[in-house]
Amino acid sequence: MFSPKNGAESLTQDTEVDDAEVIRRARSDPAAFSALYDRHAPALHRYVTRRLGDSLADDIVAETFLDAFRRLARYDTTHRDARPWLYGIAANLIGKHRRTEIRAYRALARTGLDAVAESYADRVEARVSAGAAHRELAGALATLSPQDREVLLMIAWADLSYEEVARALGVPIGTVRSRLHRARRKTRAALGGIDPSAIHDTAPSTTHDAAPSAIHDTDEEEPGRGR
Amino acid sequence: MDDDLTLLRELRADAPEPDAARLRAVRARALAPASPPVLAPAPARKRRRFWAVPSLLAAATAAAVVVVAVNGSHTPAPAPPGAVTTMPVRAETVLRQAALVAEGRRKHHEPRPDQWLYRKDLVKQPSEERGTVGESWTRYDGTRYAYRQNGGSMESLDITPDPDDDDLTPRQYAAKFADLPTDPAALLDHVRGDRHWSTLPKGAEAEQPDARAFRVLSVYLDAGVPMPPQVEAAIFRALAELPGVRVDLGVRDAAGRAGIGIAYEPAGSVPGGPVRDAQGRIVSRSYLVLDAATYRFLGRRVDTLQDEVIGGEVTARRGTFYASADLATGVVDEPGQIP
Repeated sequence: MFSPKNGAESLTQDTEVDDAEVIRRARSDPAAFSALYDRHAPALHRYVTRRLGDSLADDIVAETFLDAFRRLARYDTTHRDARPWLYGIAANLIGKHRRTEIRAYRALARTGLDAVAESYADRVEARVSAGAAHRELAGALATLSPQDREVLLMIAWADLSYEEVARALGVPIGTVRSRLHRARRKTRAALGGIDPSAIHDTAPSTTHDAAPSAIHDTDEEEPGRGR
Repeated sequence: MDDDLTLLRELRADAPEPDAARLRAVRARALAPASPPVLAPAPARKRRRFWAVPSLLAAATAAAVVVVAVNGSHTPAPAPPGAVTTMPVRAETVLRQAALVAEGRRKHHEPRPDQWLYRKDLVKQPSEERGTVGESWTRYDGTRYAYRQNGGSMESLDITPDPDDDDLTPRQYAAKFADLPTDPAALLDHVRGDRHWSTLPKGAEAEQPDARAFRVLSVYLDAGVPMPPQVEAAIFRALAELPGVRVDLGVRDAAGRAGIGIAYEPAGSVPGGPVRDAQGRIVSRSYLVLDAATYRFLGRRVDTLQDEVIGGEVTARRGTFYASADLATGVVDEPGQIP
């Protein structure tokens, strides 16, 4: 089913075909839908891992695409990029684990130990002992309303634009701006007592931009190659 | 100004993307409805070499008595509830035609010992809505084997000869096929007395020679190893002459392909023949399914005609079925390659 001869597989290689076109094709040829998964699942999985930890990511990603497949007919194909749509679906699923999410922020704020980061760290010594700034920040995240937190993290962690967040959550762009404004007022307030110059000494050296390509290596293993 | 966002972007920035194996596993779950019927996650199946359960290698032991169908003049069997309607036909007519077609096939080249036989099949258990797709690579010399299920990760293993395992390597099958008589009567004699797949029980309840002949010929057809055209033709002619062979049209394999079903249902209870219940009814009908036009082996199908009870427990409900389907076969140089 996932052989290299698979039509959907070749669709993935086809960079000219945008998400909207993939979705149009998938409506008559369900197998074409896998191209959407191949494009967006890795980053979505990482995003969910970052929100809730390693153990829930598989379920939520699988559920997101199952949901998306069921809603294929309703996708507005004037939007060429399906990311907002997928992240919106994922947001609903993540929302069901709100308590888990908040508990981790609170614990991080209190103890400096991040259960979520530990869930994906493969070495025990890679324990993330957060600096003061991150602890304050986690404390603020725990106090945000779910709507405000969603907007803030979609922008900070999923790299969506204001317009894309608006589409993902089905709200006007003005609402996105006001939610973000509210969220950032809290995070800034929480960081009020932190010396910004100390921030980079307490944080890991990884920058946001370098992280994804440096960490993942999906090319290492070819499908169908014995291990 | 942006310090809070910068800081937030650094939080858990080391969250990894999933590795390829994990992505594939989630993918199989996520895309299940997009690719019916084969992507449903299925319970792990026992590792096997050539055989899907139920195995042809082990003979079924027979129970009670009654007459149903014999080669040439059997009564039409009622379709089991829930199963496709099938139509019994004269076995000789169909099987002689199959022999003619098989004779006309091109002779194949024998693979090198270090090449691999690829076989992709679909197996549907009575309890499953959807089946399990298995892909296997068996080194031609039989020393190694690799397998994956539903497009998941590959398992491979070395095969060390097991004195209790009476299955053959592909190369041994090919050697056996090359030595088989191509005269149907001689072939029947040969397989009636076949000692290779000896079965229990012995003595009075021992597998009856015709039952053994049918079973051994079934093993050959389902071996997944190419055979000389003259041998395949002889197998079909031998089956045409074997009393108790029935042929039904419209028998579907696991992939839903309708083909020709060949089953062994001799008159009366025969050791090694089909199991019958207390009323003398056949409990399940076990078919080899052949393509209706090319007569190539498609798969197997076992229809449960009566509730199968073992130790007071119903193990298979009337109307359910087990089926397999060969989806692809071929010769490749490395495990993981697809022809």
